[in-house]
Amino acid sequence: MTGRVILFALVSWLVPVALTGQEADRWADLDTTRLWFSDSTMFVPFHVTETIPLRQAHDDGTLQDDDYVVILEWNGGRLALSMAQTAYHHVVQGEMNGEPWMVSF
Amino acid sequence: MVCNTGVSLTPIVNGEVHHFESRGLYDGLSVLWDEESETLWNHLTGDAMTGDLKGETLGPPHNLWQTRVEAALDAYPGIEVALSERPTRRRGRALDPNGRRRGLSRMFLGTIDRQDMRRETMDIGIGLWATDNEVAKYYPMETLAEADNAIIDTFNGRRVLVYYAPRVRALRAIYSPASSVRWEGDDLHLSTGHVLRNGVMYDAVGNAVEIEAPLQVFTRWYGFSLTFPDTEIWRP
Repeated sequence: MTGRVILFALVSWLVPVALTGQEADRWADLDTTRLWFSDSTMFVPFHVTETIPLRQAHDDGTLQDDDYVVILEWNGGRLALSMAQTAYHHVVQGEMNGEPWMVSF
Repeated sequence: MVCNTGVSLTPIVNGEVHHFESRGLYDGLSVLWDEESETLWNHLTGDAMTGDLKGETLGPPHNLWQTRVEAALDAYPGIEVALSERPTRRRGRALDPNGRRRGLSRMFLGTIDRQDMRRETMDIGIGLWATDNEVAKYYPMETLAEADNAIIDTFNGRRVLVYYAPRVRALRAIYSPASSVRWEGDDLHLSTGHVLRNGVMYDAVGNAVEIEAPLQVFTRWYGFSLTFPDTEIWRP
């Protein structure tokens, strides 16, 4: 059942949504015949509100030695993100030392 | 993304923080959309592709470094991680040179006008680019392997070291005045006396030192060549 729901959601997302007249006008300088666009995202962006030590996530088994992470360096700080999660969300946003950042993946 | 490209960008336009989502595909690559202006953005360069904010940019982009948990903890013992509710493990997401090389699906192909056939679509490599004078260069992983996984080249008028970091399983590039390099196990020794280990550079007495690096993505050929159509390809 879960598989069917996921498949339906995926197919729904993959089907190109006809652009509204307003969108077509607004994006007229792009070849919209080559644009796949969805009215809603399947890949909910990740808004970071808290972090924990990577060591803690490793020790409690959330992340293992071989798991991939991406390292963000921003405004004098450094933060790890799970690559699997980042690849799912595609967009991660947060603040570091008072400066907003976003990761696009 | 299928092409694995990732960068960090500044989500601020005209002094306001905007909120972004991946909403589609164009040229086989993710298209970002922001809820404040409904502009479409290139996810790699951060440039507005079309919409009310065309001409604006979220750039310049900054590098993200792919590594593995063990190596990250060695390099940065106190680093923090941000975790969402999604699984932290998913097969086939990282660029594995030994992994399957499926082609692009019809959905992706339908968004591409013309592919650059100088390399295979799903070829893996590292792409460097400079925003100041719009140069780009792609280093195929396969060709680098034939050169013992480390080469010294010139990019954008500067000497650059491009190498495969075995423990983190990623290609990287850094600016360095080194004229030669040699491997000792997984460590890369530079003629300057520096050593690269797990993506961190150490000086002759073992202190970690700052790395200067060109903009880069460890990526697939199709994504890089569609973003930078005039890219040069490194050859020995």
